[in-house]
Amino acid sequence: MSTQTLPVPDRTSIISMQGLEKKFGTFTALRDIDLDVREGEILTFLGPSGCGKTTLMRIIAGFEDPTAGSLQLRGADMRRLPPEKRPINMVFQRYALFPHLDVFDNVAFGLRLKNWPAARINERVGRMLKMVQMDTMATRWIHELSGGQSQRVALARALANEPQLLLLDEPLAALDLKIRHHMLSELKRIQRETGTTFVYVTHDQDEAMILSSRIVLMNHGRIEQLGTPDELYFHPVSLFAAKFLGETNILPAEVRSGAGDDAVLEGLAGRMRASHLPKGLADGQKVHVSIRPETVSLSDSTVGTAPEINGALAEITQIQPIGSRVVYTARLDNGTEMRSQTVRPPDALPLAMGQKVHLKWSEAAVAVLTA
Amino acid sequence: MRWSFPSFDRRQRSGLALAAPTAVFLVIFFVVPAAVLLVYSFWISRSFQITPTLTLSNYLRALGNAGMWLSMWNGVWIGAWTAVFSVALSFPVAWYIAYRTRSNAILYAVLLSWFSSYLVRIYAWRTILGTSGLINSTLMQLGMIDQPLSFLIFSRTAVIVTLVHLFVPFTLLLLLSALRNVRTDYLEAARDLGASWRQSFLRVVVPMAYKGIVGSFMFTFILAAGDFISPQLLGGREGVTTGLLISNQFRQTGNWSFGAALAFILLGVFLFAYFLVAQSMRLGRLSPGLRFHPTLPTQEKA
Amino acid sequence: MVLRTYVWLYLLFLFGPLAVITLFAFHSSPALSFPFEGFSLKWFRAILDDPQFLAALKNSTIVAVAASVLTGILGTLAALALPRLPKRSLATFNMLTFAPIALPGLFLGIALLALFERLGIYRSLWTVTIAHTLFTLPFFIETVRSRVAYFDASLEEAARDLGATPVQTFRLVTLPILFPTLMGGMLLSFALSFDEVVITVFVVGEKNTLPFYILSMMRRTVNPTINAASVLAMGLSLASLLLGGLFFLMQRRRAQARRAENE
Repeated sequence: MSTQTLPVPDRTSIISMQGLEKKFGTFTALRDIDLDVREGEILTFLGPSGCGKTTLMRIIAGFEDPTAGSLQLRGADMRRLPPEKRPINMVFQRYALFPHLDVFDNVAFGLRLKNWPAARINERVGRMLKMVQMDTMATRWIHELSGGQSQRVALARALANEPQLLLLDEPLAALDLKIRHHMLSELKRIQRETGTTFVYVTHDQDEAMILSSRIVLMNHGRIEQLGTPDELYFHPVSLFAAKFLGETNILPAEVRSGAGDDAVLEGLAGRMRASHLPKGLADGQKVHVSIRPETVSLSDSTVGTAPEINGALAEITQIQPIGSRVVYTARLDNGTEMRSQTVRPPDALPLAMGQKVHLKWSEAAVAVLTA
Repeated sequence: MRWSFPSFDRRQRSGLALAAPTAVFLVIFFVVPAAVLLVYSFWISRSFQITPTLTLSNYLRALGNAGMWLSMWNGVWIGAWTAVFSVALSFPVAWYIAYRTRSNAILYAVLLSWFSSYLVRIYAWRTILGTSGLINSTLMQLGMIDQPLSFLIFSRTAVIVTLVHLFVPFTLLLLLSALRNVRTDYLEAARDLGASWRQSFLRVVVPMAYKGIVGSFMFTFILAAGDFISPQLLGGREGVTTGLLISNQFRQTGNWSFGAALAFILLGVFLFAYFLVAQSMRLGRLSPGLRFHPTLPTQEKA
Repeated sequence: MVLRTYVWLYLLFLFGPLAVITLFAFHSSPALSFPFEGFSLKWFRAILDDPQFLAALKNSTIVAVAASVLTGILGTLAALALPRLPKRSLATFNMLTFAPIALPGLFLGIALLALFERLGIYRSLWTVTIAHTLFTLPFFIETVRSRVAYFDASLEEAARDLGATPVQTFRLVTLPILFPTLMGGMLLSFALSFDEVVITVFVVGEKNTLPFYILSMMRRTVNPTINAASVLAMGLSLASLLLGGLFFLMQRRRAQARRAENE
């Protein structure tokens, strides 16, 4: 997973939402949405199905009206603007390429509606098709395209209008894995070339991590956490956030000996210290800690002594080589299981089933979850 | 779909065997009769007696007959207006069923009315529009008119009203199945790209639902223009159609050859009407599969 | 909402005239106009005392049963053939099965009349049955077409793989799955045949069908017994459709109950 994030070139916001709410009958699909989409970023709405991410995107596109709250485009109220009047275009999940038109006319669709002269349309469509590397297929019919090609045409069609904001609704969901990874880097390239702001909706954490400047993690219609991929990965604020992004060990713990910066947590994996503590922790407060498997190291327990803090003695109960990685599961004396992940060595694995090991992790690896 | 070769052959053979009885039935009772009719149209007949003499006289007589042309005009007029009204009246309902509701109740209601007897519906309109029918007698009782409105019945209008009522459920079904292919995301995509409601209707809905729209129009047109029972019972003198003339040749006059020739002329008119509709849709740029940009010869793919 | 109101008006247009005729079939006076002078069953009594009406009703029932059974047999075979036919034959077959309803009934009527006359076949309920089958078969095939298209061919292959002969596969797998669709198609055929008059007028012999009898009544006069006859005919064909619907509902319930028991 990439830890590199795109720079955020401009802090001015294009879309600004305050206290946004959407109800379908008695069901509340979205509540308390405060969010700014910044110029030039790739902002990802991430979450499980039914979390409200698609509804939020459809509100921005104009296909749904919020039931409360404000929605502004560069400071102007956008709520009354129909979708065709918004400088926003969308790549649909199933592409929605018009089957009665060929590739060229699909891309030219929006431009024709603006009554552009033919020469200008030709120039723009040609440029768009070249950008998505479909310039040799301008006269193909839609049913003659593969999934990846349809994706490119859908992208060209949406970008041909030069929107201020491009919405992408799970655009890679219908593609197979290899094309998906290739398209991700293509999307990044196209975003760089055009400088268009992207709002990307997905339920796939890998896509979100690779692509995003910032991620909006959503759950049950609310924003669970908003931040860069790194912030979300290393400093999740809630149990949900920690579990949703990547693999992790979740352990219950209790705050001990002072609520200050040097608070110690006492839990099922012994005593722990964390370098990054949430504010306002109280003595005796029950929390969870999240420790990523790749931050837990294993060593033979016959060598050295067990660490007093941020570590434990355990027995290996499962060894799972997964391609380039190895995942060990180790059971502590109190029955708690923790997983550790390492790079797979080219020769035999150094540790065996049933072996007693010392688990160790750093203070930076401990994320304290209060929610 | 691909099958491995041995099973392909066996499957194919079993398919042909299963299709055979139906195919034979349809050939004997549809293809052969049509051929017999075609041959008859080139023979001579008088009062139910047919003489096998090859001649074009039936066609020439028909085409040189003003009454025939008038009946053709009546049939086309009735068929075209019936089709226009049926499609126009059904379209919003098909739209409602396709996009605005999840329940099938309206669809079932429409289907139910479709099966509620052809004759009963003709009779119902005769009851409503008749000289001493519901509308006239009510208006007279209310003192709004002194004499029955004669144009209500035994007119082309009466026939059109009745035929619209007869065929509108059928039109609706065809339109609905066409609209079901136009998923909502196509409509949203059109609006997202800047199309107004009207533009997305003309540029996306009509071309995508082309088959259903043209199909339902043509079907209604052909069935209405070829109907002879409604013109007979409701059309009066004004509403004599070619269909009625054909039926009279076969049931009363007995000049089958002339009737057969009329039938094939009517068929020709149907084909011509289809050609006209398809061409005007093309000219209006409402057909699918048109290119709106000049295609360079180098880009053309075989 | 405007569209909703429009839909209700549309349904009113569809059902209003039918309601009018039904109402006047119960009218105690022969006048087909308001004010309504009270209910009476006398027109129904009159029509049910008419031996010609009863004979026509019987003939129509015979024809509709015969035509729907014939349609059911031919149509089921055709439906089974659809997924098996090679592409080119399928296109021809589709055209052949659809053509009879792409033309006005008039054309079928005169063509069949010409054929029967040529072959010297005497016009009877048999010729009517054949004509009706020609008319109902395309509807039957169109109805089952989509269901057959969604039929999972791997189910048949699974049955064969598990050792079933082609006949056993048909009896144990294909038929039970398609049965409701086929029954639906047959009931549709029954209703269509029961109501058919356009083709019938050309091929009917001495024995009348019900719609043909009503048509000849209508030619003679406007009189409330026609209302009663029409309402009866309409009621019977709608009842057959509703019965069919009920039958499916029970069938489905029973299947669900059986499934629940097995679990």
